[in-house]
Parts: sequence; structure tokens; C-alpha cells
Amino acid sequence: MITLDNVTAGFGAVQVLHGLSLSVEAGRLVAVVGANGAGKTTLLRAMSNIVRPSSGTITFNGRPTASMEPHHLARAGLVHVPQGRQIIPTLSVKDNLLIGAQRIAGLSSAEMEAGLQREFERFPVLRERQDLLGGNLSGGEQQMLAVSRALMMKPKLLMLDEPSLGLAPQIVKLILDTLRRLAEDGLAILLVEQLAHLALEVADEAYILQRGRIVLSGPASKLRSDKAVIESYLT
Amino acid sequence: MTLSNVFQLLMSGIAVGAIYTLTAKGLFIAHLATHRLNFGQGDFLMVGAYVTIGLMLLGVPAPLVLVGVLIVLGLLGWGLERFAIRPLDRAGDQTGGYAWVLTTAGAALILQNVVELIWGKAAQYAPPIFSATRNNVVHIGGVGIFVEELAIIAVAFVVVTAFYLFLFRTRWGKAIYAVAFNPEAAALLGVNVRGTVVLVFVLASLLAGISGFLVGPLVSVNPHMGLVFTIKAFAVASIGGFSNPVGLLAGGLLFGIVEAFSNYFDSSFGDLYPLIAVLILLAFRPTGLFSTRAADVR
Repeated sequence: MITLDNVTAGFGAVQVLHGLSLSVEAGRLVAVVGANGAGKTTLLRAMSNIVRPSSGTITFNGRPTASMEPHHLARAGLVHVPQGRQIIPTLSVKDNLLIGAQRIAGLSSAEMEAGLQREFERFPVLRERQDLLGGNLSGGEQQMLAVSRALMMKPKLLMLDEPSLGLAPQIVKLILDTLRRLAEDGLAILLVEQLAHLALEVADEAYILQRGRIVLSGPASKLRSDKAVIESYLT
Repeated sequence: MTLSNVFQLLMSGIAVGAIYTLTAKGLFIAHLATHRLNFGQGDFLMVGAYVTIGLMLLGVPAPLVLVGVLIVLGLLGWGLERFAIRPLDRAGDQTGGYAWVLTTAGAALILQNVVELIWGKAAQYAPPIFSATRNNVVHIGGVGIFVEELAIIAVAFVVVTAFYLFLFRTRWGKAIYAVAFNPEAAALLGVNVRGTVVLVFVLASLLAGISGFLVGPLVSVNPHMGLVFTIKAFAVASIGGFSNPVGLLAGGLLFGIVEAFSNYFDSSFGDLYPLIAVLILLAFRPTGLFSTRAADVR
């Protein structure tokens, strides 16, 4: 699905990611865990080509992404839910759900309507709020909307940047349970999270990121019992 | 002043106000998506008026004249984004935050001089577009109204309605709101941000072109008329609130009507009073009549 090979990226002269390699396959939920400033957000931004990697290669569905614009990647199925959810406050919930889907080539109106109904089933509160402006939703509802909006785009790889940020525990659980089910249905998911215990609980595999370098990786169940991980992230 | 005078002034005010609204909408849409304004918006209108005069004097039928104006102004809008806006984006912080004021005003100066070279300095009147003579009048409730003004009002309102439908009902309109909110987030939703920015500058230019097409028979056309229209469009946008498209319509009509009445009472300084009124309004209500800070999408 997606492979990063020795990717280095940053801002001008400041390097944030140092030779990162990782991969995510269909049907797998992969977590990237790290403290503030470890480079988690920059990793996702580099994968979406918002930040252009200075070296290394990223291959998505067998195709190098270097020459692709962020909107081309999104339309090709690499869908990124950014930190802070970025719900468009002046559009209705329904329009927020449709805006990405309307850019996917070959997606018919009937398919979009079916997608809407599917997402309303997944998060019933969105059906109730569909005519409200996105900016009027609570943080939890906005996160549900952000996930649904991304799913409306028929992603092949779904990347989420700290979806737990600022949310109540029961909403975080609802979101993570949803991601788990989506992975079991065959979707590739890359979850970037600061709350390691939550991420390692739902993930199949995980990478531990420290100052832009992967210092540990492996099955999430194994990392949950790793002494260094417990000391640094789970206590 | 008779009731008939009042009604005629109202119609004249609405006609010219509708044109100000169209011009101000060009400012609004570019500002919405890019936080930039075309300081030559009135000069784009002036080019629209001259292209209209040129084609009409060649005997081209009015609908084809409008098509010609739209093609020329569409190209100008594209050129403005390509050569006066995009290079500044590429240069980033090196140009400072407001270099676009100079580049768009510079583009306006170029347009003024090119038009002066082609058509000369002298003021011209466009032939009437919608009626055989300028003084064709219809009687509504015993009051005579110029056909040209009625038609201008009708066309302007059709364009304003089409603009609203485009902005609120189409996927492109929603893309503009997405880019206005956050270009990076819009790109992650598959929106072509650069394409959207080009689109808003072309749209702004087309609105100025339609204004120029309509305004020709109402005012004298000269190569330096644009600045006044730019200032009035800014005034209208200020009354309506830069982030409120419905407020712009109300602001444009209000400005046009006040201007019509002030010109009736003082033909020498009639244009001045509505501008002073706007200054006083902004002193007390900086967000305009129809907008609040909270309503701003940014």
C-alpha cells in the first residue's frame, strides 16, 4: 500500500525526520507513537507531500509520490485527517461530508448518497446535525465528521493525526473502535498518536518515533510489554 | 421633488448600485479565497466598458459583445493571478505581506495607459445596449423609467443570483470556501488550491467586465474612470462587510440610491456625500452594516 524508504524531511535547514522507513499494508492498523516534537505530524505531512521530503522515496500503490500534488494524492486514495480536524466552519455538516467526495473521479451521485447514508449509520449524530454549520459542532462531533468526511473519499490509506486530541475518553474510544473495525474490513490505517496506551491497544503494528528517528517497531502487542516503551510512554 | 422624481431617482440608484454590487463582488470573492484585493478592479471595469464600446461601434450584436468582453476580461483575470499574484506567493515572506497592493495597482496603471493609447484620453459614451435610443422610456404606474436602466437592473440581478448559486450550490463554490478557510486542509480534501485561486481572479475579472458592459450607457467612459469605481467598490464592500455576500448586495444598492439622491441635490459634489457617509459609518461600525467579526470565515 505505502512504503517509506529512508525518508528525510524538514523545514528549510532544520531536519525533522531522519531517514525514516516504514510501511502500511491493506487491512492493517499501524500506529506511530511519540512525544511532542518527535516528528509525527511532519511524517504525515511528508507523506501527503505538504512538506516535500528532501531525500528518500515514498511509494503509494506502487507509484512514487514525489511528483504528485497533495490534492492528487488525496484523490488517489491517500486521505489525511489533519490535527485539529479542520472542519470548514462555514459549510454545513452535509457539505463538509461531500466536499472531498465530489473531487473523486468516477464517484456518481448515487454512490455519494449511499456514502452519506453509510456515514450517518456509523455516526448517527451527523444525520441529526447534517444541516448545521460545521463550526457549530462540538469537538467530538467534529472528529466524527472528520473521519466520515475522509471515508466519503473512498480512501485506500487513511492517515489520522492525533484524533484523540482534546476529546472526552468515551469519544476517543468510539473513534478508535471505529478505526479498528475499518482495518478489519480491509482499510489501511496509519494512526499518529501521543497517547501510546490507546494507540498500542488498537494497532496491529507500531513504530516508536523519537526526535525524527524510529527507535523501536514491531507488533503492537509486543511493544505494549516492552520495558523501554512502558517506562517512556505507558507510565 | 415630486413622487415621480423620487421613483426615477430610486431606479437610477438601484441601476448604478447593482453595478457597484457586481464590482464589489469581484473584490469579495478574491479577498475571500486569497485575502488579497485587486486594486485595479475598477480599471478592469473600465476595460470592459471600452471593449463594449469598440465592439458595438463595429456593429457586433450585444450578446456577442458580452461574450467578447467576458473572453478579454477572463484572460486579464488569469494574467493578473499569473503575473501579479502568483510570483509573490512563490517569493513568500521576502515580499512582505502587502506587495500585492503594488502589483495589482501597477497592473491597473498599465491598463489605463494601454486603453489611452488605443482609444485616446477623451471621454466617450457607449451606445445603448438594450434599447434603440438612450431616452427610450416605459411608463410604470404613471412614472417614466428608462428602458436601459430597467434592463441593466434585470441583468445585474440575474448575474448576482447566478453568483450566489455558484458560490453556495456548486462544488466549485464550496471549494472556494474550503480554500478560504485553510488552503492546506482544502488540498487534503482533494481541492486544487492553485486552480481555485486562478478561478476566483478570473471570476472577479468577469464581474468587473459585466459591470463595464452595463455601465457604458450610464456614465461617460474614460481611461482613468477606474479608480473612482475601485474606491466605490471598496466603500460598498465596507458597508456590506467583506465576508458577507448578501450584505454586499444591500450595501451596493444603498450606496447607489444615496448617490443618486445626493447628485440630485448637489450635482457638483454629489459623489462625495455617500463616501463621507461610509467613512462616518465605519468610524462607528468598522465591520460594516451587515457583518460581524464572528461571521468572518477566517
